[in-house]
Amino acid sequence: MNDTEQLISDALKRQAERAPHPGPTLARLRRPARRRSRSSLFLMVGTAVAAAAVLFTAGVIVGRGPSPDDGAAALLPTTAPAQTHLKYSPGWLPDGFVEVYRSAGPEGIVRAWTSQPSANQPFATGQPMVSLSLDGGSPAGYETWEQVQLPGATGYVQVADGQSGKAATVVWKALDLLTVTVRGFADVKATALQFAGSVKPDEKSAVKSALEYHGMSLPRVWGASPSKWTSEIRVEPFTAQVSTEKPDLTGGRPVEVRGKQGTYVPGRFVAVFDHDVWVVVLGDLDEGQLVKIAGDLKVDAKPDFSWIGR
Amino acid sequence: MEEGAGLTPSFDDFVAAQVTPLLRYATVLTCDPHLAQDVVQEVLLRAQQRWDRISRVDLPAAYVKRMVTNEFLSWRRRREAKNVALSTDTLEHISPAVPDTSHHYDEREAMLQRISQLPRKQRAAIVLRYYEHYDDAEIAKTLGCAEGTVRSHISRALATLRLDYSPEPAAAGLRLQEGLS
Repeated sequence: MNDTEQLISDALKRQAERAPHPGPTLARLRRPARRRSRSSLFLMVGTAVAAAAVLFTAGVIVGRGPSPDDGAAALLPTTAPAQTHLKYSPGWLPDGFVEVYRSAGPEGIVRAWTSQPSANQPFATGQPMVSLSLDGGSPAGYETWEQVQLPGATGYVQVADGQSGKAATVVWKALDLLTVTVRGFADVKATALQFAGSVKPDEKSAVKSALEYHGMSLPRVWGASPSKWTSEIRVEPFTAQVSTEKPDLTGGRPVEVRGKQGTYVPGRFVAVFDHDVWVVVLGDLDEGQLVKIAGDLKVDAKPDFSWIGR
Repeated sequence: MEEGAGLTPSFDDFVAAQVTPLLRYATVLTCDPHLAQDVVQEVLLRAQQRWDRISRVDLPAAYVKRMVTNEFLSWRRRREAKNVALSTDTLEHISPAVPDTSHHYDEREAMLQRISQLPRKQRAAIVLRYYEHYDDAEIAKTLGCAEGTVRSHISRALATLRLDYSPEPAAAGLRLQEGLS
């Protein structure tokens, strides 16, 4: 098995650890056989489970708000999402590194630091970077990695050749499963271990989105400074962003969005400059659908992203 | 429950032994735990109704795993066949069908993102080879295709996974990033 195949195998093992608990499936099987149609079952059960899982994991309070004209909409929360606490912070950063990314979602929490902050999403670049993520997984499957002793916990470390050079990953179990990944250093392993050893509980740090769609607001925020940022949510089949950065509107045509003149770039997105920020919705949807979603977004044009660049 | 022991397992025994492996397999296959739950649930409901027949096949677990695979392969086609309004479609996808990106961006996460973007049969072949450790013949039987087709799926998938490096996983996000000035 070559490196790529080994990486595939490792990645699939990690994905398997995310399997849902069998409880809901067993409960469904034990229920009296009053079957809905298949499509109805997929929609109602899947949606309810997904919504509950998403909101529970993200620490969002679910407030059920039934809508008389749309039964399915009753499954959507109406309570505004609370900010998500990040639980842990590093006590040490490499020289010159500042925080540029925070996200919270059903799969966990991610933070990232780099020495070269920019408006671009940091994971889409090959810059030196340190990231810290946590989820509810277990360290099972990492036993083949090198075992290391971290303050108060046993961890596992691996150095692998990535597409942008060597990357070191440290995994350990506290109340959550924590993962540190480091790339772009001469000694990625030493940096990763030093960073991992400095991680401690943090009850203050949090992340909150600058936008919300029907109560859904799983934050993903990045930027170069508190005045140069992008906040994004993804609710398939669309992605919505609020950003201080202007998108490339080449090829676009005027369209009314959120009561203002915006732009529809065919096959890509709709965008409008609203309250000093750009609101963008993109996805494999037609113009009318994108415009409608943009209109349904709740936008905070003055979010507190003071953590960016610190 | 031991398969092949000459006994006919009860459905409850089968589920007790297999629900977790099936959920893990489906999670790897679909790249989405919530969809995996839907798929496994749907398959087990059908298996429950037909258990008299399924329990008599040589390897019920392998048979049901094939049902999960087929459910995964046909799921999007069925869903796309439905003419649903945007609001309903959106609700159906509160949980992203591709993995949410707010998790680890280490090499394995980047690889998972690439795997999630493979065509479904290629993805299934990759999962059966590198997660289930099936050989070509077993994969061919599971996917209902020729062994040569399996080799082609895996070869093409590996070529994509080696070449395609896109740490920002969703194509939509990439498109917007490209659009930002």
